[in-house]
Order: sequence, then C-alpha cells, then structure tokens
Amino acid sequence: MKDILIKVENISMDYLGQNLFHNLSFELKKGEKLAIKGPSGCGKSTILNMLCGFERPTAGNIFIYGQNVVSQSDIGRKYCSWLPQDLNFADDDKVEDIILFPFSFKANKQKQIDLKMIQEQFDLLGLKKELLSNRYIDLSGGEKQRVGILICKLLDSEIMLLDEPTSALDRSSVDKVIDYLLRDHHLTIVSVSHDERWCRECSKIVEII
Amino acid sequence: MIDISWIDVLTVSGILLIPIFILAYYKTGQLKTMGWSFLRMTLQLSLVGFYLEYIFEIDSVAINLAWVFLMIIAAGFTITKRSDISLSRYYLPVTAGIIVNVLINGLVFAFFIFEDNTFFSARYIIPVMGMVIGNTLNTAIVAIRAYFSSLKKERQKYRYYLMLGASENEALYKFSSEAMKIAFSPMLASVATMGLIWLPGMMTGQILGGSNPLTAIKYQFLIMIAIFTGSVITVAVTLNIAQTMQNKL
Repeated sequence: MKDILIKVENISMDYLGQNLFHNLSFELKKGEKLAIKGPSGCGKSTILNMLCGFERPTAGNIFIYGQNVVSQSDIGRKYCSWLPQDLNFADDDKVEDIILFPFSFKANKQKQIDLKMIQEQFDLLGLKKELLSNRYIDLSGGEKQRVGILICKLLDSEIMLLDEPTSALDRSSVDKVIDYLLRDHHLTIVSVSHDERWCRECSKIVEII
Repeated sequence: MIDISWIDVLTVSGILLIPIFILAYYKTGQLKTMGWSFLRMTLQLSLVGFYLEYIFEIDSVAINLAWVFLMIIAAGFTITKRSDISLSRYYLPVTAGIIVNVLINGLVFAFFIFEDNTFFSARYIIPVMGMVIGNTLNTAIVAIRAYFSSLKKERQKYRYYLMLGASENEALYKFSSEAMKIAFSPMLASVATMGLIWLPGMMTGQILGGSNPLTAIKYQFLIMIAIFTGSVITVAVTLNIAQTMQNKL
C-alpha cells in the first residue's frame, strides 16, 4: 500500500440520470503510466477531472498518497499537473509569457526556470524556437498541445494528467511526444488516449465500455 | 443664458422620428425600449429638476450628502442589475466600490480644489458627484459583465490555472485584468480625443451658461481625472470583493 501513488476505489458516475461508469477501480505506483480508453462521452475526461478535484464521483473514493481527493478537493492540485483537451484559450500573449506565467504563482516561485531550459525542451518536443516569440493564439492545435505538455513537465509535478495529449499531432510529432513522456521513469501519468503506440507503452490500460 | 421654451423642446423632440424610422427599417426590435427609455428620461429629468430646485434653495450639507448617498444606492442597483449578476450577492460589493470612489474623489474636491467647505454646497457637490458616479456606470457595467461572462465561458481556463499551481485569487487575476482592459480602452480613447473630436457636455454647458472657456476647461480637466480615477477604483474594489467571495466555481 505504501508505494501506491494513486488508488481509485470503486468509483461510479451518474450524469443526467445515466450511468457513465460503474465500480471502476485501479491503482498506480510511482512511475507507472496508464491510458484510459473508451467511446466518446463515456466519462474518460471525467476521471481526470475527478483526480483534479473538479468533480466528485457519485460513489467510491480516490486517493493520492493515501489522501482522499473526494473529501479534500485541493489534493489533486497539490500533486498533479493537467493538460486539458481543449487548449483553445484566446490568449494573445507571447508563447514565452504563457510558459513563464505559472512560475509567477506563489506556489511555483521557488522553481528555477530559464529560457535555455525551455529551448532544450522545445527541441525534444520538435518545436521551433522561433515559436517562443509568436502569439499563443496563432499556434496550431498540435503546437498548443506540445506547449501544454512542456508546461506540465517544467512544473515538475509527480503526476501528469493528460487528456488526449496527441490528438492534434501528426505521426512523427506523436512519436516525439511519446519519447519525451517516457524519458522520465519516475513520472506517473494518467492519460486519456487512443493512440496505439502510447497505449502499448503504458503499463496499465483502463477500458470503459 | 438664453432660455428654451417648452414648445421649442417639444418641437425639437420631433427629430427623434429619424432614429425611429431607421430603427424600424433595420428591424432592430428596439423601438419599444427606445420609447420607454426616453419616457423615463423625461420623467426622471423633470423630477430631478423640481427636486434640485428645492434642494438648491435649502442648500443644507446634510440634505446634499443624503442626495449623494441616494445616487450611490441607485448606481449600485443599476450596475448590478445591468451586469446580469445576482443582486442579493453582488449589490454590496458593487456599492462598496462606488462608495470608495465617491469618498476619495469627494475628499480631493473638498480639500484641494474648493475651499472653506464650498464643495458641500448643492451647486457643486451634486453635479460633480453626479458626473463622477454617472460616468462610472458604463465602465463598471462593461468590466463586471466581461469578468463574469469570461469566467462562465472559460471555466476550463480557470481550472487550468488552478492546476498550474495558482491560488483561487491568482487564477481569477487574469480574468480581472482582461475585464479592466476591455472596460477602460474606450474611456482612454475618448480621453485622448477630447477637445479634438468632441467637446464634453460639462464644458459645453458651462460655456453656454456664460463661463470663461479657460475656467470651463479647468473644470473639465479635473472632472475627467475624477471620473477615470473613480471608474478604476470602483471596478477594482468590486472585482476584488467579488473575487474573494467566489473562492471556487
């Protein structure tokens, strides 16, 4: 039990009188990667929202480091970084400012970050350095996804929650992102994805029918 | 100053037939609202005219202050109502914003511009505060509407900021900043073109009333500073209180 990082225990979710999923359980140890699969509208993103503490299951419990996220909704925020599916925020700030923005928050002030570090990560993700001075709003969907993943990585959280992280990418970029995510063996990932290679690389799969 | 007869007022009102025709042609659906708005304006101005004549005659500091207080209460109600937010929840934060605005501007006018308590005389305090409060209305409505509607539309963004490590206040900060940008841009544009493209009402009124144009300009300059400062204060105080009240969406 001690090395279990995430424990999802018999969670169920009803939405508008319909049962999205019932008695779902899984456990993840540090460094494990999990992919959640299933048809659209089956509640995959809802599971990530629950881990974030934004939604509560109609039954069951979710523990991170033994602390119950259902009763303490800010636990998710403490340990996880999150890449939502929709990153189409109408921000006309520069990409560099968008990346640095989270480090202006009190909770991240002690985290050291510099332009060189960002540029190195850009290379690994197949992003051109010139993009840093572009407006965020002008980026393509795939570029926004990679910038989002980069921000999660720079935040150095123990758990990454990724909602369809490669849905807007071409094959070679998908491979780059997967390699990037697999580099860190200590990083625990809960993802919603249908990408075949990513699902193969994950140590666990949860399929919602 | 040349007086205008009531017959002239009525005759000139006939010019309203032009907007009525245009709005009807474009089927904007605003004819009823237009009729209602102008009727309200006529009634309110007539009432205020009678009231003010009476208040100006008595000229008691207590009554003048009570009148300003009444304006604050009405403005708080209008801003909250027009911003489409809950009256019971947000009336007090909005009114608190206007009160801070009125207090700061009132003190500046009373102690730095007018001497020997002349500011508290009805002919100064009521029009000056009326302009400060009245001109705050539009900016405050735009800012508060923009803030709450973007929070509603971009809930995901708010959540995203929380997951990036922001506290609730830090996550809401960007929404406040955007709302202020939207609200103050038109005001700053009109300040920049004042005197060049348009002559403001107060200055025009003073000149028509026979004042020296230079004196009118000084009054206008001070009143614009008061209006802008007051609007920023009202919006900042309101959004700050609303932010602390919100905690979580």
